[in-house]
Amino acid sequence: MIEKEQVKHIADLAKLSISDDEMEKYQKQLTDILTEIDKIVEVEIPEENIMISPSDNENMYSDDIIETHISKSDALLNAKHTRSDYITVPRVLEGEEE
Amino acid sequence: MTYLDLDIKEINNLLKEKKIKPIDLVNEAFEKIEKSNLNCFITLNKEEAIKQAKELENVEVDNLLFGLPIAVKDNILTKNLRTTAASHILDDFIPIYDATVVSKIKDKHMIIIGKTNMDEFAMGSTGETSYFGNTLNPHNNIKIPGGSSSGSAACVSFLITPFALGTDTGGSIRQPSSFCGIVGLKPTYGTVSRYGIIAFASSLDQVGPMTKNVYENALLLSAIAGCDKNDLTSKDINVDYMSLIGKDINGIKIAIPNYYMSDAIDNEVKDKVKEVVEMLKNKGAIVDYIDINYLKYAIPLYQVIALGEASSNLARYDGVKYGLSCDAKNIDELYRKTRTEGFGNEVKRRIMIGSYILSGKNAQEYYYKALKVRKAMTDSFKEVFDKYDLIIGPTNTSVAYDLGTKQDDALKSFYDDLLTIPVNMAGLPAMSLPIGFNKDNLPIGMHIIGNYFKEDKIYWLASFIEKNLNLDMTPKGVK
Amino acid sequence: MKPTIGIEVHVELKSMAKVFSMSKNNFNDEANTNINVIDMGYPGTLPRLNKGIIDMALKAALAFNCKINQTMHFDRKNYFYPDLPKGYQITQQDTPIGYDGYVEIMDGEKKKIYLERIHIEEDTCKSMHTTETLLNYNRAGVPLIEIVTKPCMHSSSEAVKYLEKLRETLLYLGVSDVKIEEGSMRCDVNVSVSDSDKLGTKCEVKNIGSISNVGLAIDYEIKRQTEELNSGNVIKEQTRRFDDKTNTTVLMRYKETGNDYRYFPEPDLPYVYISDEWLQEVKDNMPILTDELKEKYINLGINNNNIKTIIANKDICNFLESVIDKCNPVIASNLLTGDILSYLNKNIVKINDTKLNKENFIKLVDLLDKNTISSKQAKEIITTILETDKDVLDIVKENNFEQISDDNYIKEVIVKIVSENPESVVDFKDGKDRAVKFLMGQVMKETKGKVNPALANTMLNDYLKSLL
Repeated sequence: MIEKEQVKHIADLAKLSISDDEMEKYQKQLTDILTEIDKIVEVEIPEENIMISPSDNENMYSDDIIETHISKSDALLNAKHTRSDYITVPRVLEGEEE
Repeated sequence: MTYLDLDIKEINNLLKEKKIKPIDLVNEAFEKIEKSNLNCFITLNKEEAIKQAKELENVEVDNLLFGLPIAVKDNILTKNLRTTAASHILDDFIPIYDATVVSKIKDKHMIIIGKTNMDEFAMGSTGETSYFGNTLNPHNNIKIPGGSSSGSAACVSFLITPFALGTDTGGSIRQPSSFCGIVGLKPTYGTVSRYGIIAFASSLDQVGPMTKNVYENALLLSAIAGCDKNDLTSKDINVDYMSLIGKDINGIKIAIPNYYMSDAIDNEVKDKVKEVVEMLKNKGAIVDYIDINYLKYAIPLYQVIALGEASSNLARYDGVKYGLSCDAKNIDELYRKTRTEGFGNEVKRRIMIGSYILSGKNAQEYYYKALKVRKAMTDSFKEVFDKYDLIIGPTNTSVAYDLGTKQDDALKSFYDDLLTIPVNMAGLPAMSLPIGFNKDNLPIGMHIIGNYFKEDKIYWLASFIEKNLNLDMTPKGVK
Repeated sequence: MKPTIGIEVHVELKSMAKVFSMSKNNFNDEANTNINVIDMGYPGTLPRLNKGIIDMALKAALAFNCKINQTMHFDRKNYFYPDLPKGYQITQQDTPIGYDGYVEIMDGEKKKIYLERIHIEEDTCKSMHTTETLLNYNRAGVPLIEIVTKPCMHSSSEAVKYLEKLRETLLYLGVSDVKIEEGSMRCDVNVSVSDSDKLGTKCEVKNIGSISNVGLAIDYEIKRQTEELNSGNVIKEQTRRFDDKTNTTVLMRYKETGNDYRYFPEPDLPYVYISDEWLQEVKDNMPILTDELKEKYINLGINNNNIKTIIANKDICNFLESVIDKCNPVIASNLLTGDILSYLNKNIVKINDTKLNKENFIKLVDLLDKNTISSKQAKEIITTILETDKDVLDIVKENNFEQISDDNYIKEVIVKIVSENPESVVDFKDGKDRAVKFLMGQVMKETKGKVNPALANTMLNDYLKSLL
């Protein structure tokens, strides 16, 4: 069974809050899935190459040329907290990082 | 007379001869939505659709899709039309740009009727994780329509619109298509641009057409496929998706993976598939049972890759730029309150798992390992296609089951996608084609999997089966 | 106690467009104008890739003697911060574009500072802190390269010399402004102290505002950590900032069990394969770098002071390079580092903003080279050609600057002057130097100073000797 502390650490990483009531449910559900996932740890494979994506595209890029921008009103349209031309968040203190 | 029941070539002729106008089709679609009561739509585009239809009266009918109503899954961005991904966290989000697929259907002068209901962020296979309530299955209202493209499937099945767009990450087009008795295709990864699709799992997501027949499916795919500079994983493939439709299948080589006919699959479903296989053999198809390696790891692979990617893709919903934003004293509180309140349980659970998988040493042990197994499984698929034109089997392990069955089982919901997930892992194209009903009158879908960018071969076989079975999949009482 | 230092430098690349979106790369424009839906992390957006950035990063990696990952992908670094619109930063973790490089410095002796990696990544929003924090997305997606040394330096002097060399080289590559004060070059320094072979616990000093402050910060940290250890204290891994008022470092926070960035390969960006041909093309287009320039100038006979001045003034250096094959390099360097540079400094202008053109400059150097004009005359001409489009040859004509180098004419004058001053010939015979000086004066007077003085002097001496 996955530990409460671990569930809390994961929730912190994902910026989710987990109430005490939910903790047990999460412990059980995460444990179930992690047991399932453990199956792939033992799988034997013929080579070590990874497959990041099914796309076999390569060298997809553009030349260094500026394309169009969005308007400031569009940029702010969906934000709940704005001041003049800026989206705002509660003041972030120095040293408060990641 | 209901025009939308007709074949689209007939509708096109009526439009060309000016016997009907696009507004007649739009009005009919909205009347049917009222009548259907299936909760297919999250947002209707009534005013704009009527306006567009009227504008089209002065435009020449220049293609088969002209003036036809289409329903768009609500994780596909539509400029100025609310797009929520069925989540509270985006329930007031107004996109400032169109997804590439939306631009493409607008170029064809198709008319968007509304945004269809779905599992939240496409996470689910029942339609029940939607913040806006579940969609009902038109064939039986106590059954799930399947998911996550629930509304799109139900909408086409009920003949509200002849066309719908869905997205498929682990089966989200094919499974609801199968449960609602329509034709749904997940194209090869890279065929359709993902620009403007609210990402669930970037290396698995693909947009696809959902229609009532094979021909119309190929037609819609032709309209939305193509390389897009805004999606670097997209590719230009000049395939004529119509070219093999209606052609004879004598000599076609078909493989059936033993895994797809195992004990885990409902007997009625298997029997129906076998009936079709017998028919195909009689018509000259060569059918072999084969094995594909690593298929049994598809679900844990999916959990690692899809949920790892999802945990990262859904980090942007933080209450700052768009969507829900809870009152907070500091930044950490803003994040936690917004995300805890904004996401539903299934989404939160999947984000948690994804975060765990990528956390610390787990990334190597699980994620990178999964990418290696994925490669091996894909190579195994490729070997099959060296010898066979197509792979077939059932789309799902069963038919549509009762609403409320699997709501809180973290694991079982993934097992619905047992047969569809491997296709996304490899990036192959695959269709669910209706092949009949079970004894309870619930539709059964056949899975047709093609080689990379060989959708034309899928349409070849599908059109052949469709013609030979000649089924009417319309839910009772709809016509 | 032995200090060990490692440095991470972030450098903003000076491209037209951003790295993973094609909006304009200039965050000093009006706030939130150089942005598109990608920069804002809008749902449904996918990264683009700017090839110009790969070329620039390749130049840097090659200049710093790195091995190149010719097959590379990008990775996501996941963390929550309001300046990070997507909740992840696109960077290169598994396959940095360059690795295992070095930078050569002169710190008493030649030394190599070893680089672990150079990788491409995107910048974050610019935050402004008032009662709230205001976000400017103009900087989101601006291209960065991060250059990471191995923990291989042991003094502030090494670190400062390394940073100076890094800055100079990047400037010469033309890939960045490398203005540390404006944030286009940002230095994070890791310092640890240990009395054994094992590395001590490192303390990171973040975002130091100038290269000299990096030196001060390192010296302070070495002193502080040594004192801590000597008093038997244990140093905890921590992040500090430099306070430029007190020249000390201040604790910001202790590092917890290590950051959990959940790196994984970015599925939205296909692999980049850098072919041998591509690599060769970049190599062929590399500008000459400072070490090579210095050597070249020494070989051309330019003096050391001039070389230093030229290297320190990249615009001057570029100008010199554009004419160096077409005229006398020593005279050209003298003009550029002398009268021209003092004019530029006095008037606070850049050489490219003056009227000076290559053709005029070459003509001027040639005139001096052939002694057609005097250096005093050249000085007057320089001001004119910096301020007007006038042709040097026209100026010389208008001002009657041209020196007479006609042998026959000079000989004629010399014969005349000597015959008029027989006493000077006697003085010359007696070995008195002033006789030559006097006669030269008379020659110059007779010709109104227009004969080539060096030529006249030689001819006068020759003539006097012939009379002996």
